[in-house]
Amino acid sequence: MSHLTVSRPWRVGIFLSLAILALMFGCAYQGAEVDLTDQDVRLTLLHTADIHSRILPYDYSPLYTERMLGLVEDRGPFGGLAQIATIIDRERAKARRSLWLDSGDAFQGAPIFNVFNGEPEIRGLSTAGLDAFVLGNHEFDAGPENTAEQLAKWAAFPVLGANYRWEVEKTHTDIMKSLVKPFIIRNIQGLKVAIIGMANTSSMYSLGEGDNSLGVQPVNFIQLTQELVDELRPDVDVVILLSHLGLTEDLAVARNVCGIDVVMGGHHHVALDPPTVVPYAPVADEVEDIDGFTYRDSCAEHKTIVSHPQAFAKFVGRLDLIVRNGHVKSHSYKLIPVDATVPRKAEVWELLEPYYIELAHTIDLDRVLARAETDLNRFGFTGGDSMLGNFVAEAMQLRPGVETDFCVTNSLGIRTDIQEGDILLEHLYNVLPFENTITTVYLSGIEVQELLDYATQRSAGRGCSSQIQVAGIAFTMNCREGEAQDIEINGIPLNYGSVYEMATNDYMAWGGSGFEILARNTSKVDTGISMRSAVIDYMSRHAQLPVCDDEGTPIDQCTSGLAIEDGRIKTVY
Amino acid sequence: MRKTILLAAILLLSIAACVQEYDAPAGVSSFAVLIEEGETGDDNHRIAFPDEPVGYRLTIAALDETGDVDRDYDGKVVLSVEPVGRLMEGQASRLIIENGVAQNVEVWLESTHGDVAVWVEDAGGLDVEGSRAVGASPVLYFDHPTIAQTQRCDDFESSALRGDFAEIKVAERDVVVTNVRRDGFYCQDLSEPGGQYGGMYVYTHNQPTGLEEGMTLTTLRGQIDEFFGFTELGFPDYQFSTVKVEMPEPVVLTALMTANDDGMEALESSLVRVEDVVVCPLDDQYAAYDQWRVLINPDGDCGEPADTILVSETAGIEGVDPPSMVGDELEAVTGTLRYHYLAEPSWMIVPRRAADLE
Repeated sequence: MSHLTVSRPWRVGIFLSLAILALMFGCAYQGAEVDLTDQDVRLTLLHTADIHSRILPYDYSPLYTERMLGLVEDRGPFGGLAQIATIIDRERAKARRSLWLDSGDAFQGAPIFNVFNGEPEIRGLSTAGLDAFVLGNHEFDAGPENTAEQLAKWAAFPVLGANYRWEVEKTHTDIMKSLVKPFIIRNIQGLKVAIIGMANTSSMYSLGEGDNSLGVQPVNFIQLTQELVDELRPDVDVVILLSHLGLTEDLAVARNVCGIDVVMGGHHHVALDPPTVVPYAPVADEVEDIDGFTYRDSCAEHKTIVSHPQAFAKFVGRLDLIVRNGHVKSHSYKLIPVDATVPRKAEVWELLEPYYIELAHTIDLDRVLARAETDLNRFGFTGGDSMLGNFVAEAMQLRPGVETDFCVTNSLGIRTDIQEGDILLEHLYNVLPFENTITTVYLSGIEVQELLDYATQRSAGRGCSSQIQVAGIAFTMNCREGEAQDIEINGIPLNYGSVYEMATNDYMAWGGSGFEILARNTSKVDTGISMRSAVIDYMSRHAQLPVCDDEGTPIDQCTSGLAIEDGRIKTVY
Repeated sequence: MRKTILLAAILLLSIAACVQEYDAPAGVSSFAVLIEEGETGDDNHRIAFPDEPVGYRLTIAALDETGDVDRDYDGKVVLSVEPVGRLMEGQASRLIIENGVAQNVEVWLESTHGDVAVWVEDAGGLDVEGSRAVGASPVLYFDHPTIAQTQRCDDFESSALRGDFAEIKVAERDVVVTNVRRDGFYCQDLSEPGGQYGGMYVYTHNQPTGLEEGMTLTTLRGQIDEFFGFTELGFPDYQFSTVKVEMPEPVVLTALMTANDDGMEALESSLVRVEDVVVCPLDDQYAAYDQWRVLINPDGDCGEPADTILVSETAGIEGVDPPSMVGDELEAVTGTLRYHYLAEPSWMIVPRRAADLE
């Protein structure tokens, strides 16, 4: 959560300026005055989030929790924007009043983004008829200039992000200033709906710790949301917060802000089915930075609905509200699976097909790299090292031209598991979607200890689930003590007086995920070698995975080998 | 200040200038759902969580876009309880409305909690698709369930309110934290008579911050899920008091008890103990899932899962090394009771610390 505060005069001025700016870029109201007094009015809110470039259907074996949510194993492939568009059309045809809102992170996560930088995602969402979109952190993965270019060229929908103040002059700043609105108001057959957008701050490393390449100054989202709600609430029936803040922050907004009816969020890839209902109950720690915060008696019985529709285009959320006299009286929720039973909308598919064809000509996504004899998981059973994490880290460490003493890479850079069966090139793009390169760095033994201590403390706050994956190094992650213990590098205890060469990815090397110790290191060398290509090369040399060093040992009992969870990171919690 | 007023005026004028023409569609637009008979409660006087179905008598009227009764409406409507709650088993969920009004409509609800409403939705006619016109009754304020009311169910692999978002009644009850894990915590309602169905696992995904054994919960709400037959409260929102209370005494399990799934279900997520056990040889479940068995039937055999119970999640406990313990006799194993229908056996104990393995 951002703890920056905003002074009152600035707030009033910026609000009104932004509001007028928003109105200049289109009529905020669509529709007319209709007297809905004393009537139960249904508003259908269709919701997607974290599409992550899964705009073409993809093969996938649903997890247990996803099956519980309604994804049926043999109804793949899943996802696809043309399929989402069909669901949207179908629901809209039945609903008298509806909106389709997207909570951001449309970019990154499938090879089509790596080739076209988000153009088909934005064009597709526009053609499919999206009503509003909030900026996610991954919208900036190909650089803020690319974000500005794609949105300016192709977005036919409002782009929201009230909490971004575009202060630092950059090449993209003017475009983003004019493009990104704090809110919109829609009049849907007499029902007036305000939609406030809150973009991501928690995962925007570049905002707080990096070089601020975005040129954005984030503001306290609880304070700003309350100010916007106070201004908008008297004129509308429903206030929606469209958010990419993340679930924790969404719940904080719901607890601490008086007057929001619905928070429609994303970022954490979770499904809230049914949605969470949060009473207004401000928490001292969460409002301590807000000037003149006071408890609102008028909201003593107010409750906010918080919904998240999962990710990767697997579901469309449908939240039905019954609104009466400007008050949400009741609600109902349904997650609609996006699977092969849904036909694609012709207009959207006609738009996407040329990209699909060009993609197939550019990258042989069906190329088989190896075969997985069992699922290769990115998280270990005990929270330490994992099959896929060990394989990726080894591929980086042993890559010709890298060949360091050990490797440390961030766990969340590995985005999905590899499922049993042929491992296609396409799968590797899904596992490692980011265009990261391998960077080498020299560290003293003391710095290695400091690095692993930090990783341990970071992991302790996340269920003692290791936030790093490693090769060439083993240690005990003691989450109780917040300390890395019994560190060995290639079987030899760590020597504080020695110097070691480590491979990592450029994201971490420049301080990503809070690895300040690497950010300040001056011995960094970016090899220019793509992390994904290193893994592809390494995988191509092994027909089958995993491989146990002792051929006679079953894989689930194996303790050393390739893509084996071998306990190199032991967790204590 | 003048500038601010001017800007505000421009804003208002801009909004007003955006009005467009709109033709109201013909036909049913919504429904008035009036409660003629039955208790509604309010936020401060809630209807007791129903052990038996609760009945209401309704009048339902179809309304047009102007809010007048649509006397031309002849159609089928669907009844439901939203956002959570259930119509009584056997209660018809569909109803024919003629000439726009239906009177004396009986609706019976069960397993309903929190703030709910009876929804009436147009389902169309024989050749007409439903319009999704909808109406809701006034809010019915039901009491929030206790952990036991959430858990108690005829099916030991399910729970009474499965799939619901629920506020769990913890205030003015002693709901104590019994085991803090790296991805959640167990709690137990000490106010539950007999202790049956009093345990709950709260899945927080990350390690709970500041929470310790013995603390009591002051608020608890979340999504009631079944994870392979194990009841969890997911995506929770909770607050707690740091004042600690006495921990509950673990229930001592025997081989006879573990063979009875229904009886064990009543203890799910509660503190339990097995005594005088022997550590069995490790099998696949240890390497793959960090689970190992102890023999609880003194006349039994480690090869027979029914004679054993699993001990789970010990990899993170300092000083516990199952491979070196095989064959050891343990005086007791204490922890919270968990279930996984794919595990063999399915019931398992989750110790808190090395001292729980005596």
